[in-house]
Parts: sequence; structure tokens; C-alpha cells
Amino acid sequence: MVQVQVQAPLSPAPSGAPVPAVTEPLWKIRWRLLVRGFRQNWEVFRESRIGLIGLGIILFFGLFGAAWPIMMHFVDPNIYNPITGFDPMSMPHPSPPSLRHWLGTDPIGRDILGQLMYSTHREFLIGVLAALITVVIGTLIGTVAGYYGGFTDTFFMRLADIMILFPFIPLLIVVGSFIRMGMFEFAWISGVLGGFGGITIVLKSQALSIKVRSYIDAAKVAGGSDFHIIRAHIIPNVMPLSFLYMMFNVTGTILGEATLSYFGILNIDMSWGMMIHTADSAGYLISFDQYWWLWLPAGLAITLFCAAFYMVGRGLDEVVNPRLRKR
Amino acid sequence: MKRLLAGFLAVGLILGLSSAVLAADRVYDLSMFEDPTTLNVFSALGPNSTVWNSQVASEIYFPTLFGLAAPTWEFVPAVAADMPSPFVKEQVGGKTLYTSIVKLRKDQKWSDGTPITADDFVFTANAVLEFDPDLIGGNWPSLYPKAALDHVAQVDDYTVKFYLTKIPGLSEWQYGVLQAPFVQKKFWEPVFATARKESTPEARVKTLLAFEPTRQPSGTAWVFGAWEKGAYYRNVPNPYYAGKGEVTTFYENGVVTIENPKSGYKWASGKPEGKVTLRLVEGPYVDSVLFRLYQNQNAAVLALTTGEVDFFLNSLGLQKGFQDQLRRAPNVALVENHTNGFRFMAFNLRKYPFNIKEFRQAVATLIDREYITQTIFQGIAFPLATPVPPGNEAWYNKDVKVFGQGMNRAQRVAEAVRLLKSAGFSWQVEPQVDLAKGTVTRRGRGLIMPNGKLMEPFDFLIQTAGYDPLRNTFGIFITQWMQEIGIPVQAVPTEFNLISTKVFDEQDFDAFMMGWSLSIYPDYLAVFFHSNQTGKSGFNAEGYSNPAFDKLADQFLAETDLNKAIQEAKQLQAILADELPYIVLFDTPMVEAYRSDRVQYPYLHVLGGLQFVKGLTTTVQLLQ
Amino acid sequence: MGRYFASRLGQLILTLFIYITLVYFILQAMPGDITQALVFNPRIPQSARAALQHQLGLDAPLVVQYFHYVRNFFTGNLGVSFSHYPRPVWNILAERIPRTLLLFTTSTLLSFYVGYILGRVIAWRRGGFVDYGATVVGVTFWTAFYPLLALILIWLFASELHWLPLNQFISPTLWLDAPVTSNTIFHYMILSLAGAALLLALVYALVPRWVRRPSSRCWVTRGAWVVALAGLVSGWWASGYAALAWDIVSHMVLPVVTLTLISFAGNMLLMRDSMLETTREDYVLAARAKGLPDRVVRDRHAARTALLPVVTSFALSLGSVMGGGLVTETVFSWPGLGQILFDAAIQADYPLATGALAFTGIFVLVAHLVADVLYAWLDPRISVVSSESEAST
Repeated sequence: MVQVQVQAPLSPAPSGAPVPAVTEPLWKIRWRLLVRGFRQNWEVFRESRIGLIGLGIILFFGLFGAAWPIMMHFVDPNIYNPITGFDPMSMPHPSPPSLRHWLGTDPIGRDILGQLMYSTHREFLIGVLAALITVVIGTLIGTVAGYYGGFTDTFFMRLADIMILFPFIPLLIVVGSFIRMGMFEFAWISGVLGGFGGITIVLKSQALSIKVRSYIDAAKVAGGSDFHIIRAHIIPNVMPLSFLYMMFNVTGTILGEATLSYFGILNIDMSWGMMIHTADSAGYLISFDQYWWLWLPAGLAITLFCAAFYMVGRGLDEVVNPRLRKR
Repeated sequence: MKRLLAGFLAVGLILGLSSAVLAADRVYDLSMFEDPTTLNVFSALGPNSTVWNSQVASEIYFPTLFGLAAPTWEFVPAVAADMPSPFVKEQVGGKTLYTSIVKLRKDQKWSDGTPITADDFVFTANAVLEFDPDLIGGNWPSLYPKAALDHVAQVDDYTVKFYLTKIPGLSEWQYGVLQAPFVQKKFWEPVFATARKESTPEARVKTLLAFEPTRQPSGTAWVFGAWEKGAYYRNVPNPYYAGKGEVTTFYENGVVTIENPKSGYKWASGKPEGKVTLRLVEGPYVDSVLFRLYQNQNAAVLALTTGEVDFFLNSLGLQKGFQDQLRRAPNVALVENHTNGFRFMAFNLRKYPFNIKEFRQAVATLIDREYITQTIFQGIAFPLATPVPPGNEAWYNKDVKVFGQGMNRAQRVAEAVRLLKSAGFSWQVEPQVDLAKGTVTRRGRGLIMPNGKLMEPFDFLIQTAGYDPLRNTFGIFITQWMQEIGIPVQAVPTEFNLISTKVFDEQDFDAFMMGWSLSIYPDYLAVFFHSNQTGKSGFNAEGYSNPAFDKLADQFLAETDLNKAIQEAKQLQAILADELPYIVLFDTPMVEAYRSDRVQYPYLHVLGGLQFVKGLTTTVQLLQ
Repeated sequence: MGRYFASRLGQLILTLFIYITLVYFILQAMPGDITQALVFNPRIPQSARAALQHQLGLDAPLVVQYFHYVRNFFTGNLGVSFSHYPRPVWNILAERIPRTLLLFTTSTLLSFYVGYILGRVIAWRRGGFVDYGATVVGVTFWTAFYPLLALILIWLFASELHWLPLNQFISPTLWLDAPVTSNTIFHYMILSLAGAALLLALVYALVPRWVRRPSSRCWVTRGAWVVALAGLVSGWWASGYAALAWDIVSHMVLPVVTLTLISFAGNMLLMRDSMLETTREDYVLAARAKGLPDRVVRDRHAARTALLPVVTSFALSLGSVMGGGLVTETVFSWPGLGQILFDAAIQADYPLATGALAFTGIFVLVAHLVADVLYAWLDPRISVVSSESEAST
């Protein structure tokens, strides 16, 4: 069942539109068109309250993560290091939030706020890296399959059918207990597995709908090579949709990372999932009203972060998919 | 929408009403984390030797001739009536064999009412020898050691005669075949007969192991009751259990006496002197023991607080968070005991410069066990410097040399530098310390080995933070201390399966961290470090090889006198503490919790905790 | 319909074959390959190693091994578990599958249904408080850290409020003297639910043909629900095992609710979007113009068509739902397929891990097939139903 909704036409293409009286260099025109495209899309995106909230949260996390290296200049690393830190002054650990530790300490005396901030940029890294890999692979395969059709198409679509059905978490649990799966390994494994999955089907339909446009024929007649057409005409047109899927992918990757960390499968020194795992394996996750600082900040961070990307995706959906717009 | 809500509400209401639990009388409720995997004792003590098979099922149904009386672990007769007779040299069929006779008690019965006789033991021993204990695997090679045991014969219904090829050591005799479980001949003979029909020895063993008895006669206090995989396991009392009412008394001078008022059986390990320290009257006092399966500790702890279970079996003990929360819970009591185990780090001694003794001593000097266990871990772990933990009092050598004992950081660094220099190491940048202030003023860099070459960076395999946060943290600290004096080490958190493959199967590693849990009798002192175990998949993965040690280890294994064996074990520990094939680091105490409003135990303090004595099912009393 | 079904089945078997191949080669690619793990596994007696190696054909080249494996797989020989040696893998899986089947089916259907109903409502009240509220709550659960949510629910409902049983999947005290095992009850529960579902499906399929008046159709379908439910209740009551079945049901509530909470939002949001699109279609506008009540337009006209893409996405999401199922089983001590997979992975039990992974895949594939057939039945554009039995209204 490869019955996927074919998306409607998209935002303006950065090239292909006839421009009268060329007096400026081409890149400037392209740049201006790009800026204009962005602006138009931004106008639409701004309408979506959910998308804006999501963007706000992502910005917040960006600042939060960026503040970490700055903060470390002002505090004693022996106490506030998220992995080897230890505070002998606020015993016993885990100690509740105090002036020294705004979010308290974990069972072996490390600062929770520090861990939370330190993990933020890793979550960004894992999420965005995996999503980027997925999108790059998905876009390439999708466009190539859509453009060439035939065997390439059939092969990748059947593969995608299977990948969609693959129970990833179980598979990663099995793989992770046999090999050393750190942050980057996880990011690229889940990125690659995702890249051959459902995203190719959607992007292929999109590529297919562009391939039949008249300007593609025009480009062909003008002697454009396949490579040129794919690069200059098809890929830019599927990009917004790719970008949309990237947002949804970040959510999936981060939740996957947290789940594997929680089960102690992932080999990673610190992450939000790891923070919860530390609290759980030390036995602090049975009465949730006490020791709330051990699970609430990390749990909330995971949910907010994932929800933010999801919401931005929803916002973008309204940009990419005009039928959803309010009229 | 409304319909949906109404539906949920209805379900919730009915559930709330129907939560009444059926009242069952005198059930001792325990929790377990995994199902037993088999009821076949040959499998349970063989390839499937899991904690749960030994604590819950199979293994507990089988009698032994002798046993260790917890909590002092005195060697006492069980089915046997008295200690074995001294060895006699005999000529049997052209072979020179040593024989010993063991008399059996006449009051012991199987759960089908038939007496436990010499025939049962003789059948088991000879059948295992015939099927080859090595092929069955697991514990069987040490339970029926074929290197020492030629065969066993029945003199009369209650007398067993052992024929041995040599005078056996303690590990083969008292801690080997004399404590080996045996089965009922009547029930198991057909099983062995079927297995015997297979053509190859391998296929025979496989058939034997694949046999799954559901109802089998038991020779101990408990009989199989019911089992629902994934949910619970129940044991019920053996109606013919002869041990009921039997009194075991422990005296101040270490003597243990056993008296059975019903059959009049009496035995004493010596002349009792001083006060009675403990008097145990064997039960069971409960109608059944119910093991409820919870697959994670959180659930089991919650079950304890709600009173669903009375005690939970957990070979790892309670984590600190559970302790903190259970301490506040009403009607729950905590008890702390020594653990029989240790966690350690080791280098690959096949490689240079790890084979230099001073290098290992320097590393050991740098490790401040007290700081990590007492300050960082806040007492949830205790420092340990020898493979025998202090809880195993008789065998523990408290006088072993501990490198860096009582030193501060600067002193440790200075001492490590001295040790390394004495072996010919030097530095590009030598570490410097300020002994007066107790600080390290300059970090070392570029360690040059005695052969003049710069030491290459190497990996230290430690557990992942996910697998064991304690060992992970400990490993990171050790790495930092080594780096501080210029040892180019890198901590590599690695999956447990991967460490065990690299270390034991492939022996492809530089340094690693791991842990062992141990037996009471410390034959591991020999096994872990003997040079005959250095082969792949052997226990001596670190490749320690010392002829002097081997000789003493062999002597220790062959020792027949307990007191001499203890002295030798202590000597072995002294050698190990100086040569450091393992740098023993720490262990965690066993903290357990039970419902103080429901159960009463005859004693609480025993090596390995109450889980190690299987929850004291036969002597526990219910209060309600 | 038959031919359609057959062709889907053929595709399913092909997909399964590829899936098995992938699982096999992924596990082969693991370091310290299977042969070694087998040879050095201390739990396997030396005796059995050679035999096992031979049985699994591990002495042969990789390609030959692969064919061995595939042949064994399709003849039901999944090898022998390391951690339960010498118990066959198949034996262990057979014990687990019914439990997973029941939990998985119930929670997937419930989350689908809840998502469908809520999506229908919030699309109709687009932009209002209900829309935003439901979206925010839905997204929060959708992106919640699942194990944590499960633990919190256990703590709240089982430990603090004592409304629901704590963990496990049955209450031991109730089952101690039961004449049957839990798996028997599981089997009967699955059978009886399938029977009820079949009855309803038949009624829904036949009613449009036989009953012409819409209002009487409504009564017939409602009657069918009543009959099905009454049949289930009375059947179980008569069997005498009602208490046991109820015990299982009460233990299922918490995991099912948790699974539903995290996955309903996906269906809900998709249903909302899909509804928004269909409400602009001409026939919906026409229905409104005719003056039909809002509810009728919504439920009879818009929702029916809007359901199609939701079913598609639902079928495609089954893989990840299964992933969530694994977490559920582990956290809730539900001894199913996912839980054994997790244990096998931790204990390096290759044969069991492979078998469990393969069956997880089969599970998803079969569920996918069912959703597929359902889709074909719902969608008027796919003409698998004979022409006169129109499916669209």
C-alpha cells in the first residue's frame, strides 16, 4: 500500500522564473528570490501559533545549551562537571534544589542543572545529525526514484515498505547490546535506517509531481543533463517537504535516544535519558513526589524539546500544504 | 466522546470494586525478578545455573550428604549421619584406590514417602560419572570431580563407600562431592535409561538436559507446588520432611550441634563450650512459599511497601534510592550484610609494560578507594584490597599490603613516581607535588618505559554508565589519577557483553574492570590466577603466571586439612596483594528489606544477606 | 476480494523473507560473530557445542549458513536458546505470543478509536479552545518520555491510589488453584474477541445490502454491538473462568491506557487534518446545504472519507507502535515477546534474540495486512468489492 497523499504545489522555486532585463549578477537575483521566498513562507508560518511556540522553545534550548560553556568559566569544574563533578558541601546526595544547585544534585553528587545544560547540545547534535542524514538520503533516493522510475523506483519503494515496518527500538536494543553504540553511532544508524524508510515514498511522489511540470520539459529541451535537472529543479522543489520531515525526525530520534539510554543500552556519558536512567538505577524512581528534581527536569526537557520540533513541523506543514491553511 | 468517557468510568469503577484479594493462610510471599528456567537439576546446576534456579526451584529439592550451616557456614552432616571415615588404601581391580565410608541417617524420606537411601546417592554419582560431568557442564565437574572420584558403591541401605584415585583436596572432598546434590533413583533411572539409548555421549547429555520434570520427588523441606511462567512460582511443604522440628544449636566456641527430637538423631561438631549464640528450630512454619515475579526492582519495592510481598530476593541488594525510601516506609525493616564478591581492575600481563610489577603497584598506589567509596559513593560501597571479602571471616586476610593506605593525593603521587622510577620509568615532564600542602603542582607527561620507548596510549575498558554507574564512575576516577602522573590511559565505557568477549574469549585488551561474586570456599584464589587458566576462555584472562604462586595454589587445592588450607589461602592473598594481577577495588554491602509486621527471621546477619540463604524459607515465622 | 487478499498475502511473504534476511545479516554483522558466541558461551556444555554448530550449520560458508537458516525458519526450527538451554526458541516464543497479541491489538485499536473520535471533534471545532487544548495535550503525550510516563502512572494508580493492580499480568493468589494456565485463558480471550469482531464486521458488511432505511441500519448495527458484548459477557460467565479473564483484563488496563495515551495523538492530529480537507469537498457542502444536521454531516459524510489517510498512516505506524510495546512490556512486567527480546539481547542469546525479532516483524506484517484489507474495504476507489455493494454513502 503505497497510497500516500501527494502534496500540493510548493513555495516558489529559486530559479526557473523568467526575469526581465538582467542587470544584476545572477547570484544576487537568486539570493533575493530566496529571501523573498523565505519571507513569504515566514508570513504563512507566523500564522501558525503552534509553530511559533515550537520555534520559541527551540530557541530557548539553543540559548540554554550555549550558556553551558560560558557558565563553566564562572564555576568550579570539580563541583559542577556533569560527569565527574562532586560537591562535598551539600551532603547527602541527592540533595534538593538549593542556592548552590538550583536543580539539586543526582545520587552521586553531580549538579542536575549542569547535566541538563551539558546534554542540550548533544541532543541537538544527535537529533539534527540523524535527521540530516535521513533527509539527505531520503531526498536523494526520493528524487532519483521519482525522476528515473523503473527498476530504481520499484527497488527503493519496496525497501521503504519494509523499513517502515521495521520495529526500530527492538532492533537497536539488540544491536546496541552487542556493539559499542555511542552518541554518533546511534545518530548515524538511526539516520540511515530512517533515510531508506517512509520519507523516500513521500519525497518520490513530490518529485514525480514536479517532473511532469512544463519547465522540466523546457530544461530538458534546452539540453540540461539529468544531474542538472535533479539538482537545480527537482531537489529545490522537494526541499521544503524534506525540511518538514526533518523536524518530525528529530522528535523520533531524541525519543529513541532517551529510551535506549533509559534501558542502559546506549554508551553515552550524559544525556537527558541517561539522567533518568541514573535516577532509576539508583532506585529513586518509585515515589515521584519525593526526589522530583531527579526526573522532572530531564523528563520535561525531553518532552518540550521533542514537542517543539513536532510543533515546528506542524507549522511548516501549513506552509507546505496549503490545503490546511485558514482562509 | 461522552460515550468514551462513560466507558472509562465504568471500567474504572468495576476495577476498583473487584480489587479484593482472596485470603490465603500463612503464605510467605517473596518476589523474584526472573522465572526459573528449568526444573531439571542436571540442567539447573549445569548450563542453566541461574540465581533463580538455585533460590526458587529445582536445586532446592535435592538433598546432599553434607552441608554448610548458615550463618557460621560450619561443615555439618545433612543426609549423612556423621563425618566420613578416614581414608584407607585399597587395591581394587589392580588399581590403588583410597576409600572412605559415609553412614546415612535412617530417618530421611523423599516426598513420596520412600526413604532416602545409599542407593539413591550411588545411582546419582555413578550416573553423572558415566555421562561425564565435564559434558554436563556448569557445576557438575566440581560436584563430582572425576579426577579424584573413581566410583561410589553401596555397602548397605544406609552406607556409601567412596573409591577415590587419590587423597582428595578440600575442594574435591568436603566442598565437592560431599556437598553434591543427589536424586531419587526410582524417578530418574528411566530418564537416564532413555538418554543412554542415544548414540553419542553428547546426544545423551542433551537428552538428559532436555528432560523437564514437573512433579518430581523432593528430599528437602519443599515440594513443587505450582508455576505460572511470567507470574509466580509456589513451593509447598514436603509432608515427609524428616528435618521438621530438628534443632541446630550454635555455641560460642564455634561448635554446632544437631538434634532431632522425633527420630532421636544427634550430632555435634565438637564439645560445646560457652553460651549458645543461636538456636534454630527447623520448620517450615508456613503453608506455602509464593514467589511473585516482578521484572524490575521498582515494582518489587512498591510491592514491598504495599505489603504484597514480605521479602524480596535480590542478589544485588537494594540500591541507595530504595534504601532511602524504604527506611521511611512503615512496617519495613532494612538489614545490612557483607557481600561475597569484589570488583576489580586488571591489566593484560602479557603486554609490556603491564607485566612490570612496579607499574601495577604504582597504579594501585594512586587509587584512593576510601575517597571514592566513602565520600563520592557515601558509603554505599566499601573499599576492598584482597579477593576474599571480610565477610568471609575465616578465609579473609586482613593483613594484606595495601598500597597508598592512608596517604593523601600528593603522597600517593610521590610514592607512585618513586615506584615507577625504581623500575626504570622516566618522564618527559615529571610530575611534581607539594608534600607540605598536599597538592600536585605539575602533571606528568610523556611516560618513558624502562626500555627507553615512549609509552603508547592504551584503552581501559570500563562499564558503561548505563550498566553500572558505580564502576563507571570509579573507572573514570582511576583514569584521571593515572593521567595525572602521565600514564597515557583512556577510559572506554564498553558494553558488558563486549568486555567479556574481548577479555575472556579473545584476550584482546590492555586493561579492564569487572566484578565477581564468589563461593564460600575460596578456591577461586587458585583458579583466577593459576597459569593453567591462561588459555582462551580460561579464568586467568589477565595472563598472570608465577610458578611460586602456582605451586602454592596447587598445594592449597589439594589440602585436606582445613586449618592448613586457611593459612595457605592467606598466603595466596598476600602474594596477590603484592603482585597485583587484580587490583581489587571495592564491593557493595548487601542491603535488604523485609516486612517487619509480617515476618520474623531467626537471625538477620549472614554473609551475602538473607537472599544468600534463600530467604530462610524453612525457619521464617509469620507474625499474623 | 479473494484475489486481492491473495496478492497481498504473496507480498507479505516476500516482505517477510526480505525481513528475515535483513535480521539475519544484521546479527551476522555483530562483532564476535555468532559462531564464537556459541562456542564460548559458558552456559552451553562442551558436548552440545559441536552438535549445535552442526545443527545450525555454523561450520559451512556464510551463504550456505544463510540458506540453512531460512529453511529452518520456514520449517519452524528457530534453534535452541542459549539462556534457556536446551529449550527450543519456538517453545519460548509460543508461550509469549498470545500475551503480546492481546495487549498489542487492544491498545492499537483503542488508540486508533480514541484518535479518530477526538480528531473528528476537534476538526469540527477548528481554532476553538477544544482544538488547541486537545492538540497541546495530544502533542505532550505524543512526545512524552514513554518509560517515565509509564512509571508515573504505575506509581499514581497502583501504588498511591490502589485503583489498579501493581505490575505483573495476573494476580498469583487468584490463579494458584485455577484449573487452567493463563495462556489457555489468553487463547480463549483472543478467540472470543476475534469472534465478536467477526460478527460485527459481518453485520457492517451486510447491513447496507439488506437494510435500506438509514435509521433502521443504525438500529441493526447497535443491536449487533449489544449482541456481541452480551455474547462475550455471558459466554465468559457461563465458562466459569470469568474471574480469571477479568483478572487479566484488570492487569491490562494500565499498560493499555499508557500505550493509548502516547499514540492516540498521532491519529487524532491526522484525522483532524484529513477532516479539514474533506469538509471542503463538494459533497460535504452539498450535504450541509440540504440542511442535514451537523452531526450527521460530520459523522456520515466527512468522517468516513477522512478516515482513509488515517488508516494508511495507522498501518504504517505499526512498526513504531511495536517498539512502544516492547517498552511497555518491560516496564509493566508483561511477559510477552518484547520483554523476552530485551532479555535475550542483554544475555547475548543470539538464537532467541533473532527469533523474537523475527516474530516482532511477523506481528507487524500481519497487522499491516489486516489494516490493508480494512483499507481496501473502506475505500470506494479501490474496487475489490463487487460493484453493487457500494461502500460509500
